[in-house]
Amino acid sequence: MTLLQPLLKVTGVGKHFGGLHALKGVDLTIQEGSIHGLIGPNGAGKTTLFNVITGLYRADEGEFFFEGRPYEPSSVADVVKSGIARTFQNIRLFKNMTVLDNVKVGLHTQTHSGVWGALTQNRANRKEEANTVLHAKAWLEFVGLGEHEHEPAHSLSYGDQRRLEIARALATNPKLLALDEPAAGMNASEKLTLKTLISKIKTSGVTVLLIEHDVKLVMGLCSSLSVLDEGRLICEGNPKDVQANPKVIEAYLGVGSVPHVE
Amino acid sequence: MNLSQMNPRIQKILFALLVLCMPLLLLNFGNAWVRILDMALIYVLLALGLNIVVGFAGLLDLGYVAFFALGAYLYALLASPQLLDTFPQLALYFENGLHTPWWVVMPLAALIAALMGALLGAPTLKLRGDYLAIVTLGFGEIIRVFVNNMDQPLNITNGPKGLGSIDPIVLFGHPLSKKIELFGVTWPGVVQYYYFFLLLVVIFVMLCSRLEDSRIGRAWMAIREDEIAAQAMGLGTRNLKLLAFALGASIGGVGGCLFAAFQTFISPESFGLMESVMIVAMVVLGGIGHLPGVILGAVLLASLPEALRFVAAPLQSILGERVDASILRQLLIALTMILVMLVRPQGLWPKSFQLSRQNSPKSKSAEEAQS
Amino acid sequence: MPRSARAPKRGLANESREDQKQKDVLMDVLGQQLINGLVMGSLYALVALGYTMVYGIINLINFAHGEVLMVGAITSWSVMEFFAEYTPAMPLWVAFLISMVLAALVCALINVAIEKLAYRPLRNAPKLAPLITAIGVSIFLQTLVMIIFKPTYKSYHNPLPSDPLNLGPWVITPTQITILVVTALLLVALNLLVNHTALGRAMRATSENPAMASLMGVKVDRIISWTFAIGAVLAAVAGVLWAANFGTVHHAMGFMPGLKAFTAAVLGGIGNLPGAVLGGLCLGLIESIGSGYLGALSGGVLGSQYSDIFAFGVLIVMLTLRPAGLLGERVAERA
Repeated sequence: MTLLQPLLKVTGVGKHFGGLHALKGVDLTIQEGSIHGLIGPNGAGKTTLFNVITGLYRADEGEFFFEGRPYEPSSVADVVKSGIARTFQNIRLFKNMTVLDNVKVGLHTQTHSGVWGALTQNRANRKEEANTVLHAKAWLEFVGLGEHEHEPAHSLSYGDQRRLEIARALATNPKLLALDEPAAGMNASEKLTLKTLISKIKTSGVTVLLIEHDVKLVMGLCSSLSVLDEGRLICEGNPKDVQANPKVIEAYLGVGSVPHVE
Repeated sequence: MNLSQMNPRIQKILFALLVLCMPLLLLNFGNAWVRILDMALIYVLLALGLNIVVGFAGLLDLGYVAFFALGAYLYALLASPQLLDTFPQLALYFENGLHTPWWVVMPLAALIAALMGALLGAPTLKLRGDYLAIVTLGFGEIIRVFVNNMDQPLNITNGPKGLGSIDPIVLFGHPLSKKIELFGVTWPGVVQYYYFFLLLVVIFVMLCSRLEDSRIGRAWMAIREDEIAAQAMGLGTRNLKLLAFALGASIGGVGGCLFAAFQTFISPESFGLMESVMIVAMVVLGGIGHLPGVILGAVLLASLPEALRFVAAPLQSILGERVDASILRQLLIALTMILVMLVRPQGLWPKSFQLSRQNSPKSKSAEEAQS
Repeated sequence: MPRSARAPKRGLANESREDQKQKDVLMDVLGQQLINGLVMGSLYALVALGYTMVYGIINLINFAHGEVLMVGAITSWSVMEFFAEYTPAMPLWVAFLISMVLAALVCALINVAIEKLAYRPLRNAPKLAPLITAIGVSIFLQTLVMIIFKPTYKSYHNPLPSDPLNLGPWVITPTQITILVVTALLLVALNLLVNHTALGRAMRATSENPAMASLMGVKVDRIISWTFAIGAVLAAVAGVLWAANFGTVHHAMGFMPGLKAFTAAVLGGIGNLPGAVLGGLCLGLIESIGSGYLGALSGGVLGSQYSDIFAFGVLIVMLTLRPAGLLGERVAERA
């Protein structure tokens, strides 16, 4: 794979729900090793695009390429095998399982032990279980939740729950980590911790796609942005250019807020 | 002497001793009490099986009795005069009658039940909780209707009259239903069955415990907690659900064999909706997914009504013949399901941290922050 | 006349007459099954409406609804027995009507109580909890009736004349006519209620968007209670008519009709009122025609004892292939 080939490239994505066109002709390009932001006013279609990329919805039109190869996930589980993992806007943890177990589930696709192994506890099974524990613990350390291993997931603080969700997604060993509004509901210090974590993730070699409303966070983290409005892509580029783009300002502040220089 | 403060090791040893000596203690009150215990052990097995489906994977199966019936009728047909009576041509091959040993039928029943479990589970995979429950209920009823009516045109199940003269469990040539003299003591059949069933229960508890703490067990629980998130982690939820149905069903089949051998007579009456509901109640009452809780729930619901029957003699005389053990059991089950869900939805003996779920301030504020 | 004695010529006229006779027989059977099917279908429709209304408003399958039918029947029976014993002079049809009203009242109260005590507290609990409670309530009602009234089959004295009327080759009893008429009347009344009254408006609003409805001043809890009450009235009437039609009542009589009515509601599209009616009638017809021909089709292997399975078969097929039902939107699949 050449340096110039993007990790994820989608073109002409269209998705409609009945008569409502949620997405129209949207293009998205994410370079490997970047932190790419997806922003836009409410109802712009960001979550829809997100769900299309991560396999929750089927696109009506569009071409998808991941790592240069055509990418057509037939199910949500397929997406993970291709190398894309995601978190959810409304934190979907396995509430009644321990913190460690949550991450262990993330390792499911990389392990193979089945019923026979579980029932007989043969050497292969025990070895894999030991490995699973090691890896899960490592991921918890990575996100900073090492001391909470055996607590039930529902007892964590809000910020910690978010971090756990990220750890679980990272455990699937993805090439692209898609985060859906990870900073929602966080206070300033929690956001700072999150920012550090996302940078750390990028440094470790995982590309990040981020939906976020917090402009400061987005500008500070992302190396590239895509802006959606009313189901269309209106701008794509680096944060500085995007910030100054009149169409973007209009989308957020309304038509007429920028004098037209046509 | 405070029981709960004792060394856990000693606690376990005392418990094991109690379990081992229980039938001998109850024997003083009569064989009937040990019989109740034996049936309770069969129900513990069934509850363990259903726990895989309902407790681990979170699939509300209301037709579990179908697998129980399958195992029972399979054993009954392979170890009683019924088949040879219906198909006299077969009798030529089996001069001494059809007496398939339990250790041949039980694995067979487990296998067939597993296949049936997967088959019945297949159409339900995309359904949400309440619809899944009704469809599985429907399957259970369909099986019951078939069993009840398969006496025409060929008499396979003997319909509502049931099948009798079923062979008991035979161990090394000795039928467990007959008294035996060992170490100078006479052991009645019911006591022998107790230890046999106890051994099987211990084995299955061990197996279920291993499943619980394994990659597959975690996968099931992930599905139970949040299926979409589980899918987002790459879990093949379809196959995992089918696996849960199959494994749960296979244990049901084994339980059925034991039941048929123990009772030596079975009829479609024992395999109705109430049975399915009762086993669900056992799992729910005990503590969904938590093995010790499930066992407790099974023992309580299986033995309490019978025990109450002896104790409730004065009650019975007041209300006339309106109240008997089965009615009491039904009442108990109904009240259990209502009260447990309203007052203590985690069950009598849940995993320790589930207790704090509803009162944890952190989780409350987190939920508020999200909405 | 033996064939050999007859002239060997088999003309077109002879052939068609024999075929015509066979067709007539089939038509007679079909017609009769149609009548029976519509009658049963009407009863299913009445009960299905209760299921669908409750589902439409709080997204819950009221598992205990079938027992409401049973409670209605047994209340009516007790009232009739009471009158028979203490006021034997009262004409049977008056007692019947009074018992129907009382049954409707009792069932409405019971259903509302069930909602308040067993379902309302669990509104925010995981989906399985109210279902388990509902099952518990269902069993509790059955068992209670069993204890109070003893588990015997009691005969129900039908006040309507039992002589069937002949409509050509078909037969219909006054009771069956009554069922059809009463169902039609109730459907008209329900339609008036739902579409032309303030209560109906409030019910429709709540089923579409409870949060919005409450912001508009609708007392959502009260509307839910009303929904349970109305559904219960329909089921109670169905129960009384059922008892009159089949002549017996007993504690377990509600289970099968309840399940079948639920199937009918799913068949029509759960949450959809006309769908419940359509589903009920369709299910009645499927059952009736199916069991009528089952013996013939299977060469005598399967008899009408298997007719109960029709409902389950329909349910399973519906939920597998078209969970939305005939008239509904997708609801049965995972949210």
